[in-house]
Amino acid sequence: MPLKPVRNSRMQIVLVAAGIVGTSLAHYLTPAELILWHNIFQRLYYLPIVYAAVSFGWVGGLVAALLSGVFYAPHIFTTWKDFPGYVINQYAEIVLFFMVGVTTGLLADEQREKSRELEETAGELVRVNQELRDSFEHMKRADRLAAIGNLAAGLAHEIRNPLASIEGAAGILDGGQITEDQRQEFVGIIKKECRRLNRMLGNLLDFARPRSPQRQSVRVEPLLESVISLVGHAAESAKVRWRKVVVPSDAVLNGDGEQLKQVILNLVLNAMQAMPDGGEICLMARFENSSLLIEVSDQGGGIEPENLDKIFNPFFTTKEQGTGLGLAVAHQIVSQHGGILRARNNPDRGMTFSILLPGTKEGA
Amino acid sequence: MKSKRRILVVDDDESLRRVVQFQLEQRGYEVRTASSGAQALQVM
Repeated sequence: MPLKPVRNSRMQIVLVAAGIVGTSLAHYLTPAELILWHNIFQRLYYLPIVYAAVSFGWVGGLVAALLSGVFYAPHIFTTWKDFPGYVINQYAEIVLFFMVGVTTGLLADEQREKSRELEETAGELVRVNQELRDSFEHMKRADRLAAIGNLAAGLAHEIRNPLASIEGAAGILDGGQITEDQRQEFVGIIKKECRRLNRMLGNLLDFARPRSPQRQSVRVEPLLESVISLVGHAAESAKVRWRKVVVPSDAVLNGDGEQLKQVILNLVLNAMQAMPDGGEICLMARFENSSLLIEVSDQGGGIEPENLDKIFNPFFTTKEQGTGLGLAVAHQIVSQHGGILRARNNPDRGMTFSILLPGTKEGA
Repeated sequence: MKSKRRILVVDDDESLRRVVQFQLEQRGYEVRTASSGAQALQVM
């Protein structure tokens, strides 16, 4: 089936008609002696025929060939009536007009059909691509909402617990009928729970509004030492022993010293809380290829394997007084440094947190 | 005289356990506490 012309056709019809009429005029106005010119003109008809076929398919080719034949035929038998051999030649040319017109038209139709199919396929691809993008965006939004929901649920739980304790303790104090020791105990609970709420909100703000790292060269050894001295007193009474290995001893990292100190402090506090009866905490730093690896190992009870991938989730905690934000903040800071913070259970006992910081340099 | 009724309070929050324990004791119950399900089973 010929297809409808896809482009604006009026101009094309005019061109085809002008081509055929012009060529015919040239035939009628050129004297018979200029046989070379007649040979050229009779082939000039192919231009409008092919053009019509390409533009309008096989019908266009057929009509243009027909018109060419109609215009050309009178010229044949008026001008060349005395040369029968040549006349046959001319009629044969008209038959060729038809063949070329129709064949070219059919090929053009086929081509047009193909490109239409291609356009359809391309359109379909664009549509599918857009749909994929849309659903991806949708999923990302849903994911973000779910994360916010989780965060809010965790936060609500973590705030309600201390609030319930405070309210209960206040009620007990209000009721009278208590000894001085009991009064002190419940005032102590109220104070402790207020501090806990305060600490949690502080951590939450750190987590929700992370400051981007202020990078500079930081020596690793003094950084670890400063964390040990920060927890020194508490560590001593918790019977914590330290082991510290930094290779090379003058190793330097590129990062935010304060933030990384907080990371290591959180990991060390986590390790201490995992060992209520004391034990050894090992701080190790060394280069692995061009990255600095810092590890904090404890000898506590470790963590159930199924909780290992939740350990950095905000509000995930296995401790009574934990806020569930310490490791989440640590993970966030390390990520902001382009690094990786991982946790694993040790083969014997306890667990190890490893910080891998890329692009740090060796030596001072 | 009838012996006191016993209640087992299980919560992972230390302060909350203590407050609930005290309030129940004031109302005349004998209270045991546990911080986890496993510990609760041990107490029982």
